[in-house]
Amino acid sequence: MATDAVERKSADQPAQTASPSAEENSQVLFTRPQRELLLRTLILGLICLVSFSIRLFSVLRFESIIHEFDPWFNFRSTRVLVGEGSYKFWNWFDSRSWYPLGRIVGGTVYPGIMYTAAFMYNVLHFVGLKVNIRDVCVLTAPVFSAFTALSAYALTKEASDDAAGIVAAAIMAIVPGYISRSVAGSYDNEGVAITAMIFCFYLWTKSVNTGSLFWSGLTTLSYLYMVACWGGYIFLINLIPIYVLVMLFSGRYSHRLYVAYNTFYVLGTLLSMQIRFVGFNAVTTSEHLGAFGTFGLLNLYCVKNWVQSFTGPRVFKAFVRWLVFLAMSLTGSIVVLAFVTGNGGGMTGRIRTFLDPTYASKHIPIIASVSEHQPTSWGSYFFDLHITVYLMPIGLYFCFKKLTDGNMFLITYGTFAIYFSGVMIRIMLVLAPAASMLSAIGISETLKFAMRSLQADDDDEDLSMRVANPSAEEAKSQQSGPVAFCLCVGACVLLFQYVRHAIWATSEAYSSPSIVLSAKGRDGERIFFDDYRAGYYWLRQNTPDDAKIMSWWDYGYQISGMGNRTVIVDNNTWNNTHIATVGKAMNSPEDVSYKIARKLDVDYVLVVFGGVVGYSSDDINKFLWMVRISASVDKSVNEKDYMTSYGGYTVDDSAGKALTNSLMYKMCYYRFGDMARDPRGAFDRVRQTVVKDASSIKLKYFEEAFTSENWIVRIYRVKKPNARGWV
Amino acid sequence: MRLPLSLLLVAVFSSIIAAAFQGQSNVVLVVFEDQVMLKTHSRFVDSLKAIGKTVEVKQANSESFDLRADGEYVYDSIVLLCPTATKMERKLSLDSLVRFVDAGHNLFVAAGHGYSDYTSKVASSIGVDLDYKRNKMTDHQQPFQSLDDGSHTIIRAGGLVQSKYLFGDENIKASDIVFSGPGATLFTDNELIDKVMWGSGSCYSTDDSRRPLSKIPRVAGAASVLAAALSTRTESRASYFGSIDTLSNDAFDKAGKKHEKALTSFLAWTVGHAGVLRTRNLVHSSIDDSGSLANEFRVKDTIKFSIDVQEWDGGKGVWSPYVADDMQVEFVMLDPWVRERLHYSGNENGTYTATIPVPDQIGVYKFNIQYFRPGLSPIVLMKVVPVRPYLHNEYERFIGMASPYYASSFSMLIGVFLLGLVILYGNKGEDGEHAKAD
Repeated sequence: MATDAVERKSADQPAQTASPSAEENSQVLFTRPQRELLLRTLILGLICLVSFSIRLFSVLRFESIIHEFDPWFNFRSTRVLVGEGSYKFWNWFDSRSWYPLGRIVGGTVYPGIMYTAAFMYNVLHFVGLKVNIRDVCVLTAPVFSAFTALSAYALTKEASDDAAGIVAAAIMAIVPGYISRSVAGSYDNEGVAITAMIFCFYLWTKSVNTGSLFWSGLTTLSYLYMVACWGGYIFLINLIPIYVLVMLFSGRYSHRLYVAYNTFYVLGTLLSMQIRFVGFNAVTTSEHLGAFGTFGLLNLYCVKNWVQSFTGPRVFKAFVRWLVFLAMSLTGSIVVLAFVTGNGGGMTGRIRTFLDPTYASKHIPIIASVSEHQPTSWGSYFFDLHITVYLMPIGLYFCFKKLTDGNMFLITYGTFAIYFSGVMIRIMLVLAPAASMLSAIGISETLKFAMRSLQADDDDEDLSMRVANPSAEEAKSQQSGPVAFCLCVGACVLLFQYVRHAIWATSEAYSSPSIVLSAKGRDGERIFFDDYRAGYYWLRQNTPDDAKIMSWWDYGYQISGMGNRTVIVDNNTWNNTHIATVGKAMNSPEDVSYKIARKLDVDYVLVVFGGVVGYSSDDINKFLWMVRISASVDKSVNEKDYMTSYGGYTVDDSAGKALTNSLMYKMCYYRFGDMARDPRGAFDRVRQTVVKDASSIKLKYFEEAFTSENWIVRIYRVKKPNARGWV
Repeated sequence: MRLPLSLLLVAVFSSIIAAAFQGQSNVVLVVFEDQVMLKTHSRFVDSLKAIGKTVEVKQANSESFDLRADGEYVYDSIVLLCPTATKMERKLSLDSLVRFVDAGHNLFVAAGHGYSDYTSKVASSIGVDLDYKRNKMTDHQQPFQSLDDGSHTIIRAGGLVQSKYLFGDENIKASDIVFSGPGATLFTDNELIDKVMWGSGSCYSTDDSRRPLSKIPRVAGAASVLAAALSTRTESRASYFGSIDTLSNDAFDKAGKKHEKALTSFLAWTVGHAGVLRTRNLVHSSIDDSGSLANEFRVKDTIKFSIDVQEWDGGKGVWSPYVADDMQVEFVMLDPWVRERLHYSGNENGTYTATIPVPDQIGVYKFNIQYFRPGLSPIVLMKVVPVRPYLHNEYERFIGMASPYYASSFSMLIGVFLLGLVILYGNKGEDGEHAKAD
């Protein structure tokens, strides 16, 4: 009877700290630690399985396909890496993107994910499984999400205890905020980098807890992997120093911390410099300055302690005064020097946006234009984190209640992730693990507490054996059996709701490849719009191999990945001026656009138009960004000209003159009048307006070459100059 | 009799083969207004036969035209000597004529006093804007005396492009050429049409030369176009001459040999007898030992660029080297980064070479030649080549200047090693004490 109870409970809190008395039961097959290990392994295995399989919706519903935009570039690079080898990839100069500037891919890429996929591919082939590289890439993120769950287990275990670790793994496995970037096919840096980050955090906590060089060394290695994977390593290299500072100021300095941080900073910086894209940025840019400053401060502090150990208080006071004076004057002169030589303010726009959330919208339209760089709305917190939003504070409470070096780290991590996630919706991804782990601690501690009081009600003598030293609180809770019961039931309901929500969110919101669109038909069946691929395949089949395609930068990676044609700009937005030029071509009258197109040797122009089927993320809706970005370079472009007289943005007959004259408008609505069903004109289902003058649009320098079935992709040919010289 | 016939056959076949080799037929369609003109303008037309063209003569009023047979153009060129013929539009529509030119065939159109709407449309399709049809170019100061009837409407040209390709001889003077007909101007939105012959400073257009001018003439002075030439982007040619009257045998007799030579040469130029250039064998390779592939260069390479430029020798019927010292090649990425002169190597292929230093800037460049000269077919040539950065193993391994850096890193290594030794094995006694203190 007693063993039954234990087993029943262990599903909820499987790793409850064992009381030695239970071990004496000789009737069971395994001893208690063995059983726990088995159960824990089993549960973690199941969690891995769940986290892998919940991400397969997209493969089942659509097909094994690479999603969205950036993954297409990663996929293309992986094919180069697998097909042509590491040297070729390292030296790869891509002359087929950013025409005519070209892009040194090998030096401007975080190669971690490509190497990861290539490694898995080679291993599988070595074993004899002849899988397609595409399938490897598609499944990379789900596989790594299982690793993330395990890392979350390890980190939470290190910070709190085993039970919380398992709950953390379970919550982490299905947290929608992380699923959004790691479904099958979402072959993006983040899918691998979050794993690397959590694992690095785990090793870091471990090395702080142990103070061992070995663990610190491993931390730097996983940091190297993180740097290789994602530009978000900046978060890591700033979070750890901040944690060290917090420890320092809260008086928790220890030699373990000293060893861990110094090893991490020195080795980690050296290793991160090996990634070509980072290189000397690791020591020259201001984003890494904090880590360096902390390194100095920590060593000063250590020197102070050392001096203190052999001097009297008077000498020591003088010494400290001199030390502080020296340090401050040194820092001050370095800062002055940096500003004088102009090396100091080298912060990238995205980082500035973190410190001042309004920076990008004021100064850098190209950053502000990206949807994942928008500030987060409160609704998406609930959508992406669900109950963990509410459980996180509970977790924080428990962490503060029983402060250790380990959960101090979780507190720091959680706090900073919350701040940054408010600035950019993209950072939700970094917050999701923190929220999972903190709320896991919250749930685990609450349940532990509730279970104990329930057990006390159930079986008094068992409790007295179990809890050798009941604290005052627990003693009090013995009288609150019904409350504890409600707590347990409530937690179960909450967790159940969480699982439901996670599955629903994954299935409905995060499993669309976004290159194949789907909609629910009238009687519930799914309708697929495969226009993107039709357009890109048309390019691949029908245009010369060296044709240059101009489109808004969103589609660059897909055109080069699926269409295999040269593009003018793509999603690697490294050259703002070039993008502004394309924006100018799109928002200018036809003759101006034609000159730009000829200058850039453009053969085809591709636009995305959703007015026929009601696909809202099309080029007309993105159009104002083309205006803003080109206005940031070319001052003759004025956003007001594209607006109605009231300052609104519409496409009906009150639309701005510059808008209706622009190439983008003409290309989107060319022949749109043919679609008219009512006499007033054709109805645009995205803007919900009738476009009256659509039938009068004529093109002089461009001709329609391809329009996909649902008009989403429209491709225009740039006419050759007139044979007889007419302009 | 047998021998001449077989010779004729051989000649016919060889001409067919030659024509096939050049990818087009050798037949010129000449459209006259009527039977009479066939006689009065015979010398002008016969000049085509002299350069080896087969001439097919049709009359504007009687016959209908079929430019195509079996989906291919029958003619190489069309010469329209029917400025006043009406009803031409129905037989040879402007649209099909324009398509004929755009497809790479030549057109010569002559205007004259009282020209038809059709002629004006044909002229404007190649960028020539004709004056009112009743107007004539008039020059009271230097009319052409031997033909003048007192109205001073038979004038001498005021200037022309000095080109042996266009007018057969560089030394032909403008005053050798006699003109009678409407003036013209050029449309400004056509970037290829060139005026090759224009009026003198004292000429103007009027419908009655005997009365003083009452309003500003539409065409006057050196801005009045008498003849214009157009080299199309499809390697065909179209030209305009405003005076059908001075193309007649009679005018040739009176105006003199130079007049005849200039105008027959102009016709010969139009049908592609002179000034046709072609390019062959574009070769570029890196001189440096960078191991670059032929179609990819490295920054700071030096490229040897060569191209054969040949000129069609109509007289001999062979391609011969084109010799000039004013050709240049650009190395362009958005802007020209390098502009180098092409030097003629002197060989019989007409090979030009240039040495291009690749700038220290990666990107996708193109070799660009834009060679426009009056009377010569333009050379417009682009070839895209990527310029890549240094590979990671193309940098110098050991740099002398960095020796302090090497020394410091190695001394650091040794230092750490020695320090490690000292700490580990140096003073065991104190170490134990220290441990106790901890």
